Amino acid sequence: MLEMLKKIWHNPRLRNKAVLGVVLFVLAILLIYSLLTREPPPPEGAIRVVICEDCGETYATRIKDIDDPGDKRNKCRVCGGKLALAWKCRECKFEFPENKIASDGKLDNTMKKYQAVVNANRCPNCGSLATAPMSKDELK
Amino acid sequence: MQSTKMIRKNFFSLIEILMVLIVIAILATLLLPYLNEARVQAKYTRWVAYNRNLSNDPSCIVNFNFQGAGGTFSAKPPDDILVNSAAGAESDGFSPQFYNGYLLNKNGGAHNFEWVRAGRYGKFKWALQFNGSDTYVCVPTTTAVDFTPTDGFTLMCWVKFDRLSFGDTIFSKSLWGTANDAAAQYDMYYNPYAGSFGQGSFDVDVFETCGTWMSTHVDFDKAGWVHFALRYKWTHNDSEGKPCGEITAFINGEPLGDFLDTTNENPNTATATGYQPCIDMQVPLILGGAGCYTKYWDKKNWDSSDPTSLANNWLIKFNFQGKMDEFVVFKRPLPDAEIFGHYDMGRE
Ligand SMILES: [Zn+2]
Ligand SMILES: [Zn+2]
Repeated sequence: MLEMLKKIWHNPRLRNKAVLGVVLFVLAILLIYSLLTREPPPPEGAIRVVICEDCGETYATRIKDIDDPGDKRNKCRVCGGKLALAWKCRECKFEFPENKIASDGKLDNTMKKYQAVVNANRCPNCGSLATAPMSKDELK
Repeated sequence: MQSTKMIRKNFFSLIEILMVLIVIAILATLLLPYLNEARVQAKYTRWVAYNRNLSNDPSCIVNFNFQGAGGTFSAKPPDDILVNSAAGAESDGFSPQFYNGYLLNKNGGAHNFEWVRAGRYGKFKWALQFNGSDTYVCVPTTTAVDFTPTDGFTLMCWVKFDRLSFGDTIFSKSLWGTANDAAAQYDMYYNPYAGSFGQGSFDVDVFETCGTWMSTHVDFDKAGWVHFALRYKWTHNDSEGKPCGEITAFINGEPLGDFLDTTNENPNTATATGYQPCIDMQVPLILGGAGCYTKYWDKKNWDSSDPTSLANNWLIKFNFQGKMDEFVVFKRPLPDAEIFGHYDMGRE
């Protein structure tokens, strides 16, 4: 062993290669270490109440963009079905998925903006306008 | 001669050059994050100084820097308020703490905000995560943020949307309701009815005007942190003595140009709320939502000493989901260059 090291040391070509090898090895270790210990940024998104359009499961989870098909968090935790943001009616307590609005929705010209905005998520059960996205406080 | 040639050949063999390049590459990968971090920290430090300076402007009424004591990173912001650091020297009887922002839950109870170390300058800047369902910030005192059509004012903030969704309100000092019981001083929100999703269509209400921009130069799906500004400038009184003014919205320091006056010009989409000014009504300034009344019309139900009482009287809707990390109000119309400056000094 010692004999081999001596041989490498006295041969300039081998010595250069060996030193380079050691340097590379140390750097590689440092690189892996720094990658492993890097502080990850906090997860994106907020705690939202979601409702599964397939099985009706309602729960709170961290969601960034519920319409992003690439985000694995946008699948139901029970059945893997399609999630929507949950809304709740203040009058009859009915819980329902957020109504998707067509992006090119043309509106009746007599309709006031406010009415258009609130009508989009009128309660499908009792027709009330007093509806809002569900808060995690409202989960049983 | 022979030997030097040999040495040269040995020294610069392809393998060895490759090895050296690999070493440099690894060193660069190791060091770049630190260099980048130092650059971000320098920008953050510059912003802290700039923001602190804004507070000394006599017309600055609200300055929420979303930081802890003295605007420093080391101190975590207080859990339940946004501290106002503005001097507001031009306003009579002004005291900055009257215009602190209260972190509230529209259902009453403890707020569900999250403080995250993920503002414009990454881990150096705190930001407030709004959850899009129950979080809003209320500035309960209205005196100094009540503007009339003969005033001038500017609101600016830094926002990062989780996604652009229907009605997302950045700020409002409005009540949205039916024609008989609504009022607007100023507000700004996303309105997908006006354009198409992701195209950055925004509405503002200022006094009796509702303005819509069908699209903007910013692609919000990729934008990251975005700077919004709303400016109102009183210009003249018309022949009947009615005050007229100029409304301009800015995104990332750029004025958006002419808007559709949706009350008159845009019959195919929604028309404006465009209601009565709410000067005599105690309608507070809200960040991250817009208020729909329950009993606001009856002033007896308003208790300005207890901001949380609002939660019982109001239905806050159109909650914004995303982050906010700076919000300022000036009681003067800032020139374009100053608005651009605020964007430029604060950009990521
Ligand atoms: Zn399911
Ligand atoms: Zn209902």
